[in-house]
Amino acid sequence: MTTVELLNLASKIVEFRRLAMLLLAECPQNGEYAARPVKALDQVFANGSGVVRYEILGEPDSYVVLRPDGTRYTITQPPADLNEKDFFVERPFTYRGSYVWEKLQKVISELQIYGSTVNDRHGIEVTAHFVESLKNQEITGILVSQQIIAEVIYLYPEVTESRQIALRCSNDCLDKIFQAFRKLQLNGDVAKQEVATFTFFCEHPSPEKLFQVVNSSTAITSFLPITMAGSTNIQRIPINQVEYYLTHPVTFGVDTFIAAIQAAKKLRQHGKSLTREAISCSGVVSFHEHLYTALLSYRAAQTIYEAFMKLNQTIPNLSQLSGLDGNELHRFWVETEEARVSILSSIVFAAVASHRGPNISAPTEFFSYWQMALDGLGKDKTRIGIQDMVIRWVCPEFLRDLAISWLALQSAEFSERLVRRLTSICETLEKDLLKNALQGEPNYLTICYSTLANFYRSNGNLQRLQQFEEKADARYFMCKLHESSSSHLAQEKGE
Amino acid sequence: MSQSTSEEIVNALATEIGPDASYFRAESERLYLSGIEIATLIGTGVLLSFCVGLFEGVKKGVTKHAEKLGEDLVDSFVKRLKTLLERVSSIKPHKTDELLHEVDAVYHELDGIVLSQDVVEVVVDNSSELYSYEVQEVTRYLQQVGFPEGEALERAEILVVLIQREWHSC
Repeated sequence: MTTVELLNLASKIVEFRRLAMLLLAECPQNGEYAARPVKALDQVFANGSGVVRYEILGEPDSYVVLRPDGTRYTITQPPADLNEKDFFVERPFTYRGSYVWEKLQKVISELQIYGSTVNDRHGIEVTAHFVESLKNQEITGILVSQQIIAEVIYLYPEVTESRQIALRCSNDCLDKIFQAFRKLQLNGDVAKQEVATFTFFCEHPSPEKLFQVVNSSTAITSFLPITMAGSTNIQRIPINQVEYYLTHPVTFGVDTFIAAIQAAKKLRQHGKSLTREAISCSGVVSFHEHLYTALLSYRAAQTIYEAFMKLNQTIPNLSQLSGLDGNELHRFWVETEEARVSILSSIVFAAVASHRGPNISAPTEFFSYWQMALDGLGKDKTRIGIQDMVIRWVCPEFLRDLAISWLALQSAEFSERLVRRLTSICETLEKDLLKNALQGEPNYLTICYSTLANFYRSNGNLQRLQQFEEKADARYFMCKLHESSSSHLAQEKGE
Repeated sequence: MSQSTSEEIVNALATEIGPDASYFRAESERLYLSGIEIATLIGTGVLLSFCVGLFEGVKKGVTKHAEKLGEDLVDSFVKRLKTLLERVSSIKPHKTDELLHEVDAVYHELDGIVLSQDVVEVVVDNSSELYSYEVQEVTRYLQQVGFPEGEALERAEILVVLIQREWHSC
């Protein structure tokens, strides 16, 4: 395979993963819904202001408000200062489109020419089959997750007898569920329940007792016995709802409540730490992969908070027992909900081109988006918009700084600090050039060099200008790629 | 070598604070998804609180800097910084134009304090004595603007280290 063919293959694989991530982040229906065309919303974004009344999942009466100054937010009450006649109304409440799925199928058919090795390595058919089965409601993800958990629990026949064994088993279940989610073999709606449950098990002072509860319960028929290799283990698969353990007569109590709150906090912090890692990434592929995993952690935490919100209605002193009052509970729920919305939007922008947000996977589209913003909003607001992208997890820091540099160049405000930052970005991108190219990363290195060349042109430093003009030539990138690839192959042969 | 400006440090703080934006909004504004305005305001408040802690530390005779700067000057810095903090608290994050204008004015005044030659030596001093005062003030500020009490101290420590790193990065 030539270098160019390798690059094409890598970018196709990334496209495949992004589309599949969108369909499996929650479930295929929600992925389609998130990416659906909303004409009224597009119109508001094109106008730069307005209000759209439309359905957000779980919140049928939501208003998206875009103010003339560029700020935007979602509320459930119509803004008091706007008249009903000013609203754009969009009610696609029963959206049944399959736009993302059709795009995914197209990419899969384009990938077929690369043969079975590529298919096996990236699990393309497995993912495609899983998405299709979910979409057609032939299976639910629960069957898949139960199989994964059964395979783990089968290895721990003494899970009800020892705290250490129960902990190890719960941790292994967590690892396998995260792994299946990242490999696009399990969807978020199911994975979040399992992650919430097993994180709770890990935080509980006596997780072995939770497994005992599972096994001793005869009332619940939905618990599957674990059957492997023709023999039936006496273990059962734990029900994947934290609420069940919070209300079960054997486990009901302060320890269980505190363990659940602790589990939610741990998941929230895990999500936060992953998003921080995401924004520090030197590539957009790893940025989205980190966000995708963070999404699962945040949603698992949200599941636990929702269980508490529900129980608050039936257990009056729950906040005292759990040590978490209603306000804090709501505050943490909001944090997880905003994280969910932000990450999902970020994946939508990258998977399906939309002028609702910049597409960081296509450099040309990315800069066109900011050029339009600059023309329409002016320099100061465009700079705020660019900085906002990192806060909203739409792009990693290195791209924000590249875009800020581009903007500074337009307004002749390039500083030494920006030059240092861009130089450092170039060093990182050049160091990771082969790895990034094979991962299907768009080529931002050439753009960084081109920005530096333009800076040196503007300040008349001809020596530096020539140096960076050479590096900004696409041939430099290909030449460096070839060098890295040859050196990598030589190292592999040496080993 | 030039010193980082307040604006540059606040930009770094805003990135760090971004994921916490939902903590800082009033209950009625929850699910308000615009992040940078709030992160910039809180970042500015954090930097001002850090500086209050820094000069409180100096004032209480913790370091050698107290003598050099003089008590009156340190007192006047603390007073000015607290006034700036009050000014930041009154800015409305929804009004982007007003926000940009106001924070620019705050940056200008803050730079006037911390970028003077004598003060730069104090600012880049990351001794443990000053650190505890800085963390204390930033923690207090975070709790005041809505950060969960149980997590504020840990967050303040991260932010103080970030400010020190940014100040040393130039």
